[in-house]
Amino acid sequence: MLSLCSVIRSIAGAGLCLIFLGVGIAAAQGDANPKRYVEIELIADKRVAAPGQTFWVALRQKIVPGWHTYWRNPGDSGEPTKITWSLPEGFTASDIHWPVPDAIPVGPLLNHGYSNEVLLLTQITVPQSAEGRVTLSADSTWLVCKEICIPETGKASVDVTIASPSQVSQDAVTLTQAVSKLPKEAPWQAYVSADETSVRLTLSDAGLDPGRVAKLHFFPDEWGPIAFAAKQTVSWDGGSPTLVMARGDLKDKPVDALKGLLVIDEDTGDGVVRHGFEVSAKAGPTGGQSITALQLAGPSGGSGVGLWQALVFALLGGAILNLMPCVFPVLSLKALSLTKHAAAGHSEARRQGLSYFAGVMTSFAVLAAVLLALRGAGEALGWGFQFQSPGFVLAMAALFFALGLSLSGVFLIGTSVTNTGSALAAQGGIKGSFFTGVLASVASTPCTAPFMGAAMGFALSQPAVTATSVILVLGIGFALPIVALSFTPALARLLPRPGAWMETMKQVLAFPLYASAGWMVWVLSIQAGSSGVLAAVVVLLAIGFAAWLLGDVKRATGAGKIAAAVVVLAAAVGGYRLIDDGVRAAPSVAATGSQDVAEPFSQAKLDSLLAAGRPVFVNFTAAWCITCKVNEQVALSSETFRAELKKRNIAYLKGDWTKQDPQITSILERFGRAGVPLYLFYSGERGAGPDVLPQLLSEATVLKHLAKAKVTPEIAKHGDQS
Amino acid sequence: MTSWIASTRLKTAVGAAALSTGLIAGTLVAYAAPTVDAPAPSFSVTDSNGKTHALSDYRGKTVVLEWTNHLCPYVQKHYSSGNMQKLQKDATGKGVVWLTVVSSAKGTQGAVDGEAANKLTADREAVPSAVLLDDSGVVGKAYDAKTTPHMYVIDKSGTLRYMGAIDNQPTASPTDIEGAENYVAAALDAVIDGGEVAKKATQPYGCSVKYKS
Repeated sequence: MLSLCSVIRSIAGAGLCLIFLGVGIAAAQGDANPKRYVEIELIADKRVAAPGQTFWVALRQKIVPGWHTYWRNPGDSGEPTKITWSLPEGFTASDIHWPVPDAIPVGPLLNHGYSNEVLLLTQITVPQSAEGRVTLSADSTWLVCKEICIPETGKASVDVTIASPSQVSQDAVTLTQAVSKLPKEAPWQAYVSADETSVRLTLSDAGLDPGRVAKLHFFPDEWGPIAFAAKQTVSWDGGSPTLVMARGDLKDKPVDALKGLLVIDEDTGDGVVRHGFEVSAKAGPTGGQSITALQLAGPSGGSGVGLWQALVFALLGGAILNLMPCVFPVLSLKALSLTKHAAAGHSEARRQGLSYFAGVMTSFAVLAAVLLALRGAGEALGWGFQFQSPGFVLAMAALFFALGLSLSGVFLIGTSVTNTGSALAAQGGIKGSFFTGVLASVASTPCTAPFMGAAMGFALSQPAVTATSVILVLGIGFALPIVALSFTPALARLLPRPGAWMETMKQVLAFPLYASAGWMVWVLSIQAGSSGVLAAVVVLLAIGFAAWLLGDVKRATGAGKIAAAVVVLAAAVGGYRLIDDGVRAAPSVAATGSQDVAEPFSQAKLDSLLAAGRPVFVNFTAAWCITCKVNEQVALSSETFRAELKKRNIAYLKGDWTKQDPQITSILERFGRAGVPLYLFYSGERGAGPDVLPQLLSEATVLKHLAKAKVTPEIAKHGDQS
Repeated sequence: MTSWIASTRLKTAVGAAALSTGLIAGTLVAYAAPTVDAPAPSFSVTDSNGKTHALSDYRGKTVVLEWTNHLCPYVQKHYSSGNMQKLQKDATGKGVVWLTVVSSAKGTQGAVDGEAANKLTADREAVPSAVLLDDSGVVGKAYDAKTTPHMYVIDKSGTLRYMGAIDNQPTASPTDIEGAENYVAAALDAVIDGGEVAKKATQPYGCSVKYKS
């Protein structure tokens, strides 16, 4: 093998030599002539490496089409590739730096791995004392699967000379590209929360553009918290995505942290670019938390309230509605008449009770249908009925506050409706009972509306089945006391008499609603920051004022109503804009807050620099552009880059397109770009157009362009030190 | 009467809070995966001799389910070394019902008919109580079996007590068996002694189960 190696070396004239010693265990398949599914070789980015230097080597796996090898967490089945290094004295090897994997479905399962070809990267550090030619060898084992799986092993090595100065190898470009595509540390804070069935991962203040994100997938580092194969759904709150994933099999351990790789496919307008971000999420507010919310009340970090619990509450809540002042008198009458019927015979009372029940349930079913239809229409218009949407949360806060005010007696909802149904309900017999049911549930809106409103608001954010169940069970709860009475008329004696206590109770019930409104404002403070809170204050104040305008009978003229509507509308628009600004403002602070040497771009500034003959590097970026951020991290923030700018007296301008500055838009158009990133380099030669750099930068590319900078007099004086 | 009203007021306030709480509460449709410490999914399936087995037949007995595919290197690791056979012998010796399940769909790796299954059992001197032929994948999917091997321990009351890997060495190499922590043996000991299983769910490892789709 070594002699073959020297032959290759003499022919190729390169300091690299590849030895390939694969041994498959395909014999396990009963195959006499084992076929190999993966070929390996070892490559290094240095032909000559200096003592003390750290350089990259890669185990390249060429995989037969249709087959795959595995990432560090293989997913539902499989096993990651392992490398055991044999290195000369004092050399050290890092762990494998895993490239971004693919999600590979295998029947109902999901594997995380690589197809066709992958470079598994490792950093090798040379000791200070080393010299001469050395051989780095890797013993490797991997599993390769299609439908079936085959463990294979192999040995590969690469020769490197240790001397100064170092020299790149012929594979340096390949390795540099592979290194530049390695996952980066996520530049955003990530939060995780979980309930019994789902895990939510939110990138806080990510400032991404949902329109540019073609796909998001989270590859957890570990088995347990997340079911790998279950669909991951994304919802957006402004520029912050929340991934909702199914809870995995390890249910007895709380999900209070989550590590893994978030892969974002970004549609740049000129094709899709894949980015990998290492995410380390801690427990905290996620986009979904407000839905599973009552974790506040539940055990810490524990499960949310399940469907059946929600239904129990709905049943209870429905029963409580009976005690409302506008309902209770009606029911007392009904109860009285039932008691009378009881004398006539139980079956008649039962029939009446059941027809009352039918009336209530019909009303609630209609309500649920209307609600779902409204939601469908709203979604068609692009409204998000989710608690991830700050607009929805603000609307909920406003709704609760208004309903609370109504219960407190500041104004009344739908007093006129109450009377219309009375005539129908006054009819006797079965039909009368049916309409009493309808009347009790619908026409008694002044008191029930606040609670029905609350129920509907929350139902809007729920899946259709849940929403319908909750509303129907609310109806069952509502109908229950009368139905019970009709079956056991003796219970009527236990009913309290109508009286002033009903009004007091109504007023007390305003407070849970105020509490809910306050809680919504708290959620808003997380989603949209202080401007969200300000927006809420403006809107709630306006609602209070409008309610007061409407409430006093003397003022509730047509003019008063119009004034109230105008006040609320104006506040709503103002509030929405505040929130919108709040959501946008956060990321742009982050974008400009980094300690770089760039000056803000303006056409005038560029013109004057060019007129002075200065070389200029221009970076058009945006907070929501992932490629831009990655480029800045990879190529535009290093010490080398900054030193190069200084050495060559290059001005660095940064144009922030986060808010779509028209001046920058026109420049983008001039260079045929629909969006950022755009990198321009003016060498400083008068009249020469700029170099347009590629959209994906490597440090080498940038430095190559910067090297073309015209030597300005100032530099010539000090001498070019390159 | 006054005290009745006062207590009603309190109750209704509490009730109203409960109502808003309940309405705010989020809910999600239940997820179909099996859960440890919950009833194990029931099944009824024929074995390599044509006999039907239902989980309910074994009420009162501890049951082990072992997903297998005799051509999978990870299964071979445990059979070529005699590890699986030993585990089966120890378990059945203590009155445990050991059901080996083949969920490979027809025409996929590891799919066997009754005759082939019996021959395999004889050749490798395995001692399962029965080999269940689940080529439709119904049992596999009910248990969310992902890999071969994938192991489940069910107690006498029909409660799932362990699911996951056979041991803590997720490799195909038989040399890794010695010194490995065998999760199934530990779970069985705990269940038979009436104790709590220390590790209730672990990451299964091996080849994917070769389902029909």
